[in-house]
Amino acid sequence: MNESRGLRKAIIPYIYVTPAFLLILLLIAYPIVTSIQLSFQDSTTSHFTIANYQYFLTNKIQLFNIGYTLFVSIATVLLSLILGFILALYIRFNQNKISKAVVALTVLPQFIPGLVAVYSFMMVVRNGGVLSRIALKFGIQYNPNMLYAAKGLISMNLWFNIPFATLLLLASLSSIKDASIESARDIGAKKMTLLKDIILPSTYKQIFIAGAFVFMSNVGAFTTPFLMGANNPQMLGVVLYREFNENMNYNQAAALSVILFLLCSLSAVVYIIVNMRKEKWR
Amino acid sequence: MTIKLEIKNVSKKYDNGDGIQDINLEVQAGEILTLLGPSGCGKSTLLRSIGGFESVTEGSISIDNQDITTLPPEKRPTIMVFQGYNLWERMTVFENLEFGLKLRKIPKDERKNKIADMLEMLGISAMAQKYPQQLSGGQQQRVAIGRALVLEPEILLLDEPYSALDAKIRVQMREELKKIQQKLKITTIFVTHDQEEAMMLSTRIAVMKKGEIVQVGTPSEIYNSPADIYIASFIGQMNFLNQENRIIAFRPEDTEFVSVNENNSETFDGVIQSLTQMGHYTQLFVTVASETIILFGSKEVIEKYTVGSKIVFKITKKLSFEKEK
Repeated sequence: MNESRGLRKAIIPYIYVTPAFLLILLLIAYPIVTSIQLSFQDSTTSHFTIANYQYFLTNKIQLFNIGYTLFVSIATVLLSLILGFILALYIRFNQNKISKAVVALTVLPQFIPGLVAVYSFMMVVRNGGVLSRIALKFGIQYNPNMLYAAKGLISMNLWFNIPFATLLLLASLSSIKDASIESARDIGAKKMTLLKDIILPSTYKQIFIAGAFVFMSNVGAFTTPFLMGANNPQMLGVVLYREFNENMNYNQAAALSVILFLLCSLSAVVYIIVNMRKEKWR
Repeated sequence: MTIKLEIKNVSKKYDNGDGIQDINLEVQAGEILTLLGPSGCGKSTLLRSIGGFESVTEGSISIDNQDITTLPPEKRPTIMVFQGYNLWERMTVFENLEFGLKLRKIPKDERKNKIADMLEMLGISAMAQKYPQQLSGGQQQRVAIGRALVLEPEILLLDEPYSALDAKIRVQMREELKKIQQKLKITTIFVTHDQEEAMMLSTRIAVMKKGEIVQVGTPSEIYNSPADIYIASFIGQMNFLNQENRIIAFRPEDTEFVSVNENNSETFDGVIQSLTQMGHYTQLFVTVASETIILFGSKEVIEKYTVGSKIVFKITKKLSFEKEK
């Protein structure tokens, strides 16, 4: 009796885990394995080859695409972190109507479908769009030249990512006790000292984590670059789409997928290192 | 005696109506003055106003005859020790003490010496390279005090510094604080809701109620002649008995047990509800008419009386208050 009950107890956790485990196997592990397999095959002979990788890592246009993708992603990461941090600082240390309104605004983008947001943004910034018309009312000929250029892409990315970064950073800023700040002010710490010695040491982890997430979501971005980006250079998400749907070169598409995966895992590495880092003070 | 801190007609109103009104207080150089009162009485607000963390709505605050009413915390010669130690957890004990000295551009050697002396005095020299989370509550509290004292403030402000400690360590920390304070002769303002703590530490106590100071005096003045019923009930144990339109108040120890009721206003009959041996004295719960009071008797009393028996007692020292409307 007792033994069978013990056995049943031991099995129960596995029963709970099995559905999720099978799903992961089917939807994540299997595609990854086949992609990797596919990426090392020749498209006609199905023999082993590294030509698919060679193409992306030697072809000038593709190298430029990789560089462009990294540039847009890193610029998005840096700008959304800086601007998000400033916003979060403002919200944390000012309890007024403006700061409350800003908090509400940072949540708003989460409720707007990405496609709608991109199209709305395009209406505003395209040449002859809302901005140009407003300028014309004041007798100024103005074209933002934002579409099909990196600055337009980055601006749109910021629209998505600043609120996200702000919310993440705000969480860690909120964990700093008021008394911690006050006691530092009490002994004569100026604003910059407070930032450097009290605030940054307790938030740097979240800054890296927010950066890693923003980087990941932008390296593989598709909607925004597809709608707003130029034909050359292209973001890798769009290149992948073309390989798959227009060139129908599944082996090259697979190789590019693996490259994208490796780029994303860069930020996974950052995430893990930051989280694993043993802190002396704990 | 010189006046270190002078508070004149200070008010601070919050939007929700809380705050402090019309505070007048003088603090002498070298004394420990305690702001005592229940939570929400405004004692922390007053302390924070002295430290510069709250801007007052009205009135003036001066230290050594210098008006500091509008100065920010960093420009005031006060240092505050906050509730619950509140050390910078990413800095070592040494760095916690050094931070303020560095900001004051004190040379490195001098900093080292000052910190070493301070840690020595507090008995935590061995902890210098540890982080706050590796210390016990009592040790963290010592660091918090050391961090303030190493900057040699004119006035030390303490906001319920011991509220996070357990009772035994709290008593020990009070003793230590008192010793250090006597040694350094630093003017200290201490906020607490614990009347025992206030009695033990203070040169003088300012009792606060609903944003006002209701009485200022030495611990024995406050204990022996409380200005009103509120203070009488707040400080120490006090019994109250209704007598026509007045209330008489007396301490449990200010009674004598007698054999015959002399039928005067000082002698009462009661029925014993319980008898407890408290060590060197006996504590009795007694009902007089419908009111329950506490009396202290000698340790032999427990042998003379039993629960339910009648007791006659005479009040040797009493206060009389008008009934509040």
